[in-house]
Amino acid sequence: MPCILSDWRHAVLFMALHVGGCAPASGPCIELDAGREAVKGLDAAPASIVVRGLGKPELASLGRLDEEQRAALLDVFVASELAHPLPLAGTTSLDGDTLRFTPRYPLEPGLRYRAVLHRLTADGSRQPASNDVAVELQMPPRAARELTRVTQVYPSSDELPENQLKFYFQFSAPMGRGQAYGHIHLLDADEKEVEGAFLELDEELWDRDQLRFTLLCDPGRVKRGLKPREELGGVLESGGHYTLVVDSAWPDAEGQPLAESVRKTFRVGPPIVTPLDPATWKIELPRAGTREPLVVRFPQPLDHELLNSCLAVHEVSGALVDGAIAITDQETRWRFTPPKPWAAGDYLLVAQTKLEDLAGNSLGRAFDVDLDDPTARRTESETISLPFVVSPRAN
Amino acid sequence: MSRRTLLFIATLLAASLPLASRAADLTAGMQKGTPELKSAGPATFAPQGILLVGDTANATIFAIATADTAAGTPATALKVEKIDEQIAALLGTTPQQILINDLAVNPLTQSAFLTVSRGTGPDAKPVIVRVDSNGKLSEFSLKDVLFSSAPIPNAPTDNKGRQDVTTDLQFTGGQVLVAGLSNEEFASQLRTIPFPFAEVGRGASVEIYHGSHGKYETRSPIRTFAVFDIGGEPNVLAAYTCTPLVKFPVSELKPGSKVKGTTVAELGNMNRPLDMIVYQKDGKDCLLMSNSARGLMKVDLSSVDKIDGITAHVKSVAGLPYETIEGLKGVKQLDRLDKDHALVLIAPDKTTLNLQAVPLP
Repeated sequence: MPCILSDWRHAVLFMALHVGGCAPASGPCIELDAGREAVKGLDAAPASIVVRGLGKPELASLGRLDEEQRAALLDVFVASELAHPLPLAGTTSLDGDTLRFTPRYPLEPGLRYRAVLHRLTADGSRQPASNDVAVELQMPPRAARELTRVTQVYPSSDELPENQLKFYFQFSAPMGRGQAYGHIHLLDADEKEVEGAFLELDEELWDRDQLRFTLLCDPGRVKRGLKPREELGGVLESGGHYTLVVDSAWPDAEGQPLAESVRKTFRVGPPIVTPLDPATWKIELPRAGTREPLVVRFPQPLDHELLNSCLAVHEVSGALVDGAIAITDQETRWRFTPPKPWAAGDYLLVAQTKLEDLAGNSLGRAFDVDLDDPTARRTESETISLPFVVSPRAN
Repeated sequence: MSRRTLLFIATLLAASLPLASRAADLTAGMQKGTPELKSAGPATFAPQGILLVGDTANATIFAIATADTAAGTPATALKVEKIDEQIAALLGTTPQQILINDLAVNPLTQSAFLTVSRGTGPDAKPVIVRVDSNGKLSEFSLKDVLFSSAPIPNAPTDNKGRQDVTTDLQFTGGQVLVAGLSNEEFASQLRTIPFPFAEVGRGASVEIYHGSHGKYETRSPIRTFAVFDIGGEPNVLAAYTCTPLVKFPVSELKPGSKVKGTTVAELGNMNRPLDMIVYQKDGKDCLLMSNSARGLMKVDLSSVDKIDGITAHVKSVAGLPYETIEGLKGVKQLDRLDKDHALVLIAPDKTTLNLQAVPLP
């Protein structure tokens, strides 16, 4: 396969895609340089594009140029259908007898690039464009790996309140941002899509690792008294059956589809419109000297992620007690297991008032406060504390 | 006259005056170096060519002195077709791996600054792309710039799962207003951060509420907003995620206060506001708002100082009058270009995204 061509159009037409390894030849050759990452065996991502085989007079001419002038002699483009694509941002350096283009951002696995070398004469002037050397290079594809899956959908209950506010989707690998809402569908009992069910935000609501996506039902259709709800009704209707579908075309962070679609079917119960009431929680106490869990049972499911972060155990001195949290029984049970046996004494279960149920009602206030109902607003403080005693015998 | 109009004129005046007679140098106190952005989200310009960028992943607002102060040719005929493909080409990737998060026009130069993610995963690289008034694209280098930063007040730091997403930010009267919402609890905080950042404290976080027909009251996250003078007092004009367009005075944004917006328009269902600007046309104050379903809306603000708020049940679109601008469908982002033009990111069809100047309607 020749790698010296006088006409880059000819090169595009007749060259097979070049993946590196210049054949011995008497002129310059452009190829991918795998760089050090491949040596480490990390991702084998070539780091740069290099020109080898330049003659000494041309090298001498290149050596006399500054960085900007040198950069103008080697253009690298993404092979695309754009009539006048911009060249990649990057730097061009002369490293011994090798001219090297180092892209500002890593070259993409599987993507085709076109590199064009503009030749110099021995006296440093530019040769005619017909002497350009052009080549298309293709990055090796990304190593195959297991496709990403939805590992959990919260709430895990199969009965949700009519004013259900949010869902969480947990993934096995980082997901891509920007396409979420096109891949989540709410279907009614007739498998007909419920239009306008969700709040769509360009920014999308992800955790930092993009392993968990938060989907809010359109608050305009969940809140009482707002125009969208008055015109379209709530997102869910009490007594109805629905299916939440995640389709497998949702691309992950590497642009790969999901391994499979996921369906979560649920029925809908009456709305919940009151703040959380800790007086309804049942606390099972551990015995001193054991590592039995402290268990808190709730009369209805609470928000899974907020349960993870909004409940904690403190000593009465205020010191935080270390322990592992488990949330079970469709988010109606919170278990706290310390790494070492409980010491007998007084403790506090501290709850942040932002803890919410499935409908966004918190310990502090109902999701939408009925201003005529004095019980709809409970507290303005950030936490409430529930004392409990750990003693040697079961309580 | 809107705050943005004032800002625009102020920045033009600042550019035309000798250095000694200018207002305080807002870059004083900034450090020189490379701001370590983890993400580049909503953006806007403060005076003196200072770009404010919301970095959700860092829970930080960055102020970057762009040194983009030399006025070029007017950009009123600017049109860059397939801007996403052009940016992808510049950054060596495919359009599918490019997210254009926001558009901010530097009023000094009419250059557009686009905040971009290269990649869609958690390791996506934040990039700022500058499009000059001739339509030339280049990556705005963050190396060795003057910059400062401020943490977003009351943002989560200890819980890796929780993240507060910045949905919009604006500069007004020596402070940056930052709207956002959480990926866990249903919060509706609007943060205020005094600017320059180096001079004062950490700012405040205020919970925003919506009162519905005088009967229900809910937390109401803001999706997009503008700052606008009503009766000589700066007000926030905000579109809630639950769709009402509301107003409230900036002066109410004090630590510990509870702010309830006054509904000035209900814009209907199956629609989400995307971006907004305020401007003057034929002596009238106007709001121009891009929407997901209802096209570009021009809202007449002439009576915004008189409106008492919508408190009765609304059967159809009510409040301030508005019109839909035909011929400009698919506007995703917009910003003021000059007193007569806006710059918009527009998708005329599902596969094309252009950056172009349009006359203000």
